[in-house]
Amino acid sequence: MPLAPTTAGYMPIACSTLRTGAPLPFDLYVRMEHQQTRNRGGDHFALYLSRDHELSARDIAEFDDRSAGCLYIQFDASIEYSGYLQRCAEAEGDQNPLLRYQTVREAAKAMMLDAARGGGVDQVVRISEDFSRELVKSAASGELPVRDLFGLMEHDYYTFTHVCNVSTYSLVLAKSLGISAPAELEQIVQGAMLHDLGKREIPAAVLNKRGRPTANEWRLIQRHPSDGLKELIYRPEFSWGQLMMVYQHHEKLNGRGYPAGVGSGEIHPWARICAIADVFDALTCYRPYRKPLSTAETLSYLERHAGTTFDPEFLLCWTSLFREDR
Amino acid sequence: MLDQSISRGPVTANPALPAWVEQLTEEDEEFFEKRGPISTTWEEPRRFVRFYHRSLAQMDYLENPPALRRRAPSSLAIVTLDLSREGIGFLHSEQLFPGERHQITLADGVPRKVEIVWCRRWRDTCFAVGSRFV
Ligand SMILES: [Fe+2]
Ligand SMILES: [Fe+2]
Repeated sequence: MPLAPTTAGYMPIACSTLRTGAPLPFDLYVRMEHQQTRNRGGDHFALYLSRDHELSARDIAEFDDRSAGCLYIQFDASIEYSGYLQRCAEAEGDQNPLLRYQTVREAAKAMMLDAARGGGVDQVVRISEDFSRELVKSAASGELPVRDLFGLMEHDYYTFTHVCNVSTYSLVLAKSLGISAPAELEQIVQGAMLHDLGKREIPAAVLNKRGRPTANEWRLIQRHPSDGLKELIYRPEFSWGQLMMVYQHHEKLNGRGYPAGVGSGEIHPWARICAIADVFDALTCYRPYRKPLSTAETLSYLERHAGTTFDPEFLLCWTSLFREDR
Repeated sequence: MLDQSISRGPVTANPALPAWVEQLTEEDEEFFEKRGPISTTWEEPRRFVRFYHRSLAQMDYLENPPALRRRAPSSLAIVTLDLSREGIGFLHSEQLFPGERHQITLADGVPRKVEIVWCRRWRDTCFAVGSRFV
């Protein structure tokens, strides 16, 4: 199951979740960016700070500079990391909705990683259900400004971080479009969490390939919305909107998307939300073959495709969130 | 294997030909005349050879997904496109979804259960669907 990246052994964490004044319960790594290591294929990681080091404010500022907001820990340390976040959240009480959000997200990520090591669809569905309930609850108890959230995301395109990011962005967009019923928001978050479920069928070598996919690989990639839907279509617990988030998130308003090539009137509104969140995250994340785009570059890319790919009204709402926050 | 010489068969569900079916022959007079094997390409490798099979057939909805409140009648006319050992391609006025399991009856009158594999808009009026026998 290709939830784990080719860089097996390491997972990204956001610098902004680290706190000063307490010893680290895990080792911190950075990704090496040398051309040589790129040519050899696969990423390489170097130990940056070892466990028990007490972080200073200067360390954190330096991380941000050097690692573009993203550090790595070993997969095996994910439980220590979740515990660390839990303790930070407790220490800061209810004052910090962002930290609470991060705690919920890390717990989900650790479980997703576990599921990736041999769990089935049932396990992924259960995790997505818990995550959506907790995320909607933590969003209800305090404001989650989108620019702050953006700072918290790991901008590294691994499937498990990607689905967490897309579900968070979908929640923020859905709320700003006026959807307020918690049950509905939970469904949207869960649909977004499962939107790439069909990627389980794609070999990791294809998913993480550097360079353009061949025609055959591209066909395999394009099957993932159908494969995801096939897994869920007869499960009575899913609403049609959720199923369409899985099936239609690569459709375009002009009918040139996949898998069905349907046009604007036939694309479910939740799938349109998911499409914006999905591309926003994909472009702002590090990929093996390109650097992440800035928020401004990404928003202008999305705007160029308003009306043809993306719902123009939903997109206007999304871009205005960033502008309001400035 | 199904007999590929089966041609236009009776459709019990819809005695009058739906407008979208008539449109097919307006656009291509030989639509229903195509016969023989369909060559495979590098871009579209197949496990089994497909044959043109242009014919009217009947689709019965067997297991509608619980979340889909389908308003269409449970029996509809479809137009088959091609046939192989593994499955059948057809045109349908309604969008179907991967994983759905329904029943197709060709002119030989034998109902066959199929699972939808893919569905793509074909014209404004219909969808092309790929299915496999289950
Ligand atoms: Fe996708
Ligand atoms: Fe995605």
